[in-house]
Amino acid sequence: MILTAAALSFAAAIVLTAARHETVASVRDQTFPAVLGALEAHAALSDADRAVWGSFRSGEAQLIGPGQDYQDDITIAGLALAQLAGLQGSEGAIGRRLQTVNGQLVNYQGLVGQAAATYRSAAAKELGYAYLSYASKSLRDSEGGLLAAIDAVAAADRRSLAARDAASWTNPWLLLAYAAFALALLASLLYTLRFLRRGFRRTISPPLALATALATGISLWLCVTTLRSDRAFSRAHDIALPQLTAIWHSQTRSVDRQAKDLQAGGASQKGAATRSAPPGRLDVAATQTARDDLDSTLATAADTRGLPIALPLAASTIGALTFFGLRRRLDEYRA
Amino acid sequence: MRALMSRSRWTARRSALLLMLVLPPAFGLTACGGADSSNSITVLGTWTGEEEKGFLAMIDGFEETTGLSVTYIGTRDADAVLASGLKNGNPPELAVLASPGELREQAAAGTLVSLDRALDRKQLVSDYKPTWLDLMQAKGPSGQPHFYAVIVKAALKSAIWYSPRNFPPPARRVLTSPKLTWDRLNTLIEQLTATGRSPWCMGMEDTSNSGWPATDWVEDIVLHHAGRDTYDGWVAGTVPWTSPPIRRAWETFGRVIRSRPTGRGALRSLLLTNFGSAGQPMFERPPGCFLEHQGSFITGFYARHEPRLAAAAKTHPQPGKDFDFVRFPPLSPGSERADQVAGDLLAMFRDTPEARRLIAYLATPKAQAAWIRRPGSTAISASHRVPSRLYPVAVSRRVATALTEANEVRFDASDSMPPVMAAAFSRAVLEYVSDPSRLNHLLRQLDTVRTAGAG
Repeated sequence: MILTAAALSFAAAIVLTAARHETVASVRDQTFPAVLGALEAHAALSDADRAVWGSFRSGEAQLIGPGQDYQDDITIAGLALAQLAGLQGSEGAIGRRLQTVNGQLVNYQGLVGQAAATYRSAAAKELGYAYLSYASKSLRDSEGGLLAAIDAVAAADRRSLAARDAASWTNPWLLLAYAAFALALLASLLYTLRFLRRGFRRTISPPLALATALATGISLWLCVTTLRSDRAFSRAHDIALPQLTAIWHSQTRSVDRQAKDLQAGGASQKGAATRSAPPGRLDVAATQTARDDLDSTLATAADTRGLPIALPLAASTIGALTFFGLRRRLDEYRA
Repeated sequence: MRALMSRSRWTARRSALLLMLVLPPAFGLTACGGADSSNSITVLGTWTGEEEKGFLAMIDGFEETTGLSVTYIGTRDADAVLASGLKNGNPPELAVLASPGELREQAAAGTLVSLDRALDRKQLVSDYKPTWLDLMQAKGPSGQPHFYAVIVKAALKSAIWYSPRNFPPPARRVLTSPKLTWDRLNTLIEQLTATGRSPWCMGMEDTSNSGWPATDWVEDIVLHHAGRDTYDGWVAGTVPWTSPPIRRAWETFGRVIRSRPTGRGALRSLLLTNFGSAGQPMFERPPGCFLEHQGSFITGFYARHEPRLAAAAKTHPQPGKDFDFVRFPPLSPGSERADQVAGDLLAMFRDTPEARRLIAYLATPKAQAAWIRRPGSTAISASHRVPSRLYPVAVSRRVATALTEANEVRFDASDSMPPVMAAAFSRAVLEYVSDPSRLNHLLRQLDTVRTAGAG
């Protein structure tokens, strides 16, 4: 009975620990990168739009086209989308949506290229601005635009991955099984200790007492580690991720405002529009700090503190102690 | 941001962890399945907003009866997205093609899947007139014609829209007269211009497809002024862009543009105004413009205009009262009649049993009726089997009758041209709008593209 309860409770503990670790790893390696990848792509493309409008309004587009900032932003967005595609694969509804996003990105770049080529012709400046407006519209259109499509991918990502992440660690049957087996083990040990004490009129059996202490200790260890991981995970989920998200959103709103101002400036207000627009672009340092915080919090959540090794060791030790504790009494009884 | 897992769920779990050695957890969580399923079909199309809702209503019945799942992705840049998917070797199962020209090109290249196995030919012949059936077919890689697309939704393009409520009554009588000709319309335009307001509502913007409202103008002028044979030759690439009838059509369109306000601001407005909102000033009091040359699908955009702009009605513009249409007038009373039409061609890029079932369903009058009968719908079916009583308003019924009963229709010229030619046409017309003095240069460039394509 004791051996069975020990085996079952520690098997449940190992499954619980592994499931928790898998969940944290999945969230760290898939859910959060997917959400952040979409945010980063959205922000970079918003900034690309700001950058290219800035280049046109300042007249730089005459010589350098959309400009280096635009190119950098497109590269960042492309990498973020590639990361998203790597996480999702090309099949399935989300994969298909990502392919749509990539197609729209190519289309946006094509329109910007057309705008730059037209703008260089002195006689067709107004048409160059028109093409750039078409590009911005294809980016920002709330009905099927590129940014809306990225947001739709992110939403689908969150739904799909959250459902998957919720499936293992939070399974109530697993927790219930562990609790039941652990209680059965402790109850069996305590009952045996009491029975032997009464039946043989002896003091407490040291191996069984040690087994009981070990079972209690490892359960507490599991509980403390799980709570610590849970706290870290909650912090990542409830604080660090929203903070990082808020920074991205704030920066995106800022570059969106600038892009809007620049677009509204009109060709005749070239200088004024440039002067009125803040120089800002995306603040990579600010997002990196918040990203580091999120990563370290997730690392804490993923730390199992040696439980995968300690649990089988403890189970074996408890089994052995129980065996020795009971054998001595049985030998006495037979004698 | 939506939480990955809700806060309450986390709190419950923490409490459970504390109690798990003492009490059985009392919370119940269920795992959900992922979003993807193996029997889903992806459809890429240009329908967004109300049109998207209409299409989704159309496929509701399919999903209910088959248990299959359809993922629809709508974007105005669907053709660019499709091109990207094709290059990556990963197109959706079904996609709306921009034009019959693209249908022919993709079919010849072997990119499309023939629908001969998916569609019931006898049923199609019974449901659609030969003009429409021709548009659904193309030559495959072997040179044999096959069905490659179904027309999910059609439109009458040779239409001029006006607001009966805002149009001056004497002018309205001229406009709606069966004897209306291009010259009489021009006289009317001159009278309207004298009022100091713009006679024509116009907007060129449609993201990567910008410029098509102007190509539609040129096409209708060619069809109605130069005749069907010239139109057909021009579409086929045998009539040069620099030929007199085509040049005259451009010049006529140039006069239409010049009847509008001129200047840098007006040009910017013309280039940057979205085609869907260009007609909005028609419903203001006083109206900012009087007439709009647009396809029948524009009524869906009219109906979305804000009530505050429909000052006379204080409600969204109503068909019949706030907007109605006349057919594009012929050059003279005896001129031959033909109407320009367009349709959304749904083609198959990945052959799966599920995709075959969906496209077969979408070709049926029953499926198309689901979109058409929606309140406020502006969709028109190319099938004459869809009863006209199903159209929610009289204006739609008239458009449907014109589409399904007309014997002489021509598909939108730029949509019928090879995609490269069509793209060059759209770009050229935008350049012409911004600088009409470049007409000779632009027509020569278009002829260069035409001859390069023919070679």
